[in-house]
Amino acid sequence: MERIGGKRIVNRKWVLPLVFILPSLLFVLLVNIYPLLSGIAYSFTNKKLLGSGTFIGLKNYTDVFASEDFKKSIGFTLTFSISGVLGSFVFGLLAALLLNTNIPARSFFRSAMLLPWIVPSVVSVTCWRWMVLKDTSIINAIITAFGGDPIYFLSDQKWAVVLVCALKIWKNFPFVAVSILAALQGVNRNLFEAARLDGANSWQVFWNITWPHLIPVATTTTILLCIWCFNDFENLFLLTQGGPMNATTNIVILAYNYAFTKNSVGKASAMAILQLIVVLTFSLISMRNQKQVEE
Amino acid sequence: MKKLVAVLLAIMLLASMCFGMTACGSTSAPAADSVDAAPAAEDASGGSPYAGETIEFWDMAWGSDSARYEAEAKKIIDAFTAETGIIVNYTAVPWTNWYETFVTAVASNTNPDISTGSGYQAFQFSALGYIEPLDDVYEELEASGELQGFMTRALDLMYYDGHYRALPWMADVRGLLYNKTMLDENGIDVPTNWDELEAACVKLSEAGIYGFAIPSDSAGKQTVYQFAYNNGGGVMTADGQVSVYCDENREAVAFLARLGEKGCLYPAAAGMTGSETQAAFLNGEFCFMITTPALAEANYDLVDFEIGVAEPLAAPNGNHGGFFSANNIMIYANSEHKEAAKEFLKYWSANELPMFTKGTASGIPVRAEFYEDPYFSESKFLTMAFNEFIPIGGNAVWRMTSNFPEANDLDGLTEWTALAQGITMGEDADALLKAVDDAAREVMGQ
Repeated sequence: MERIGGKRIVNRKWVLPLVFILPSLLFVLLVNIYPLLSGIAYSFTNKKLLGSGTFIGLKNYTDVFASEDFKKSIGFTLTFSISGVLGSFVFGLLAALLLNTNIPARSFFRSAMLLPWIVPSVVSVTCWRWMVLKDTSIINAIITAFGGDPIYFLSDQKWAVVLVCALKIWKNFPFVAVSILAALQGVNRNLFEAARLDGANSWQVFWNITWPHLIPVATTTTILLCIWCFNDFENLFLLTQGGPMNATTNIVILAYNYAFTKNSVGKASAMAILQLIVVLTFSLISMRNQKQVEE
Repeated sequence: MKKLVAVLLAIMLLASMCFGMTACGSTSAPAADSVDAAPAAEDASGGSPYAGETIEFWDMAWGSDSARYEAEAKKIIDAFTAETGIIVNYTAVPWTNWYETFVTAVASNTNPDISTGSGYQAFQFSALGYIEPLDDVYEELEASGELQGFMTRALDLMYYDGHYRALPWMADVRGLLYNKTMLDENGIDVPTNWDELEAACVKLSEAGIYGFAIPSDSAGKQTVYQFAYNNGGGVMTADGQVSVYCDENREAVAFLARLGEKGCLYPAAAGMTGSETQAAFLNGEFCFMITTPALAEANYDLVDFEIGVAEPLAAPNGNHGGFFSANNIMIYANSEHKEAAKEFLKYWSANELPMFTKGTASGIPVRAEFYEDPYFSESKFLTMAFNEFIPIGGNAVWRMTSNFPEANDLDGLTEWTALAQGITMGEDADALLKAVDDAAREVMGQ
């Protein structure tokens, strides 16, 4: 923006890019801002999916905080998110480090590793369901072949949680691996050779040379993993529908249940707002950390 | 400024992720196989004043074999189009998340012109003005003498607030299906009451066989319903009060829980859908299951064991009750092709026999003339369902004089599925039943 003769003139270099992004911007405003504002408004009403609602202040929020199912869903959401992020990151990092070495059939493994990431969830999760559904399913066939008792993964609250966390890690670790592998490719090989000449062991090389180069990528992938784990719906819904006994119901599925089976859009919106605040806070903190790292 | 823009974009991204599940939850069509019957219209003779109009028909997955069911549906639709010139787009809707599918569709004005659905759906939607009254269709059917052939109990259930809201097409009942081969091999007679059922399950359990299964979804809820109604219980009292936690229901739930305590319940069922549990039953993985007698008829020659349907059990108090639902077809008030949809409704109702005889529909017809077909008259299971299960059946509005809109919400409570799962998993079944009662009272404002 410039000021010539007291008039504000738009800098011409902004005009063309603005024209290019305007359609997308309008679309984003329509599909993002409208639902956001609607959701905020609904959270202060007793609106039902069928029918209008009236303003009830903060009642939805107090009801949500007081409800046992919300507390239970927070517990599961944290368990699922923490294990999903840590597991995906650790396995992804290990896979990237392994695939960055000269192992046989490296190209094949690099491609094969991507399968969990690229196969549509509806396909892969259905396969997982078949693998654990019954005592005769393949996982239990393996367990019993080694002398163990069959595990009813979908009928046991603890095992169901383990199962969905394992699924999330399995689906997400290729993304971490590919991201970190790309970062590893960019590290100057001379640094490793110099460190080796100075007598550094493998751990010292990793901690003092490799890891500092990975921090920017690691921060970004961690933020994305946090958001994906916190907001996951499809994997949980397809595998367990939030069961058994709501053991794998996260906040998103709970909000879905309130909106579409309990017909309470107001409470569902209140849950979505609370979730938004948590994820937003976490993301802002992470973004600040990333900026500090870059500086 | 750049920082502000970045933060705003981040908020928008996160907001879209968070609200994608709630505020943008509307759907234009259910995720289901769609059969387009339009090609048949090319040969249409156009015998109806509504020839050339296109109607959307959503049909639930009523068949135990969905491919056979949809094939028969398409034949009826093709014949209808050839006769009338009205085009029907057929969409099969899965039972999974049926409630969300229809509620979202009507809320977003993307509903079909005509649909089947849950037994109470038409009354919930009627109260909100989404359903077209069908009094004129009933008058036409009465004048032609067709209505006299309908099951009276089913017709009575369609009447709400001074109007007929839907047309029944299929009666749904539940019975105790059993693996007779399994019983014979273990020297067990077919049970006639709860004590005998429990004894049979225990004996099977001692032989390393699971006796009974409760699915995790709405089929599990219907299993609970079956024993509750069998015992004289119910969801509501005659004066419209919630009675989920009544003594009869508590006794029924306690009975099922006792089967679990004695190791008689098939553990995997707590994570299985009704269809998956049916498949496990047909695969011989347990002995007893509460489901539709039509499953036995449709699979009698297909399974490698003898399948049977028990006579209605005697409850501890001597009562003989069971689950009964009148599934129906409704027309939506916002349809631009109501008259064409009514034409199709009447045609479908009069010609739906193959849906049962060839299409593996899960229930039995509500039209008496269909029972003259050998498929029914020669089937002991379906004859038993008509003669013995229908007269004693109850549902969510049982004991009340008329239907009510909240019945759909009551039937769709997620607490029912938690109860069904919890019984198998050894949780406190009585507390879970109380939780259903609390949720039902919240729905009814009691």
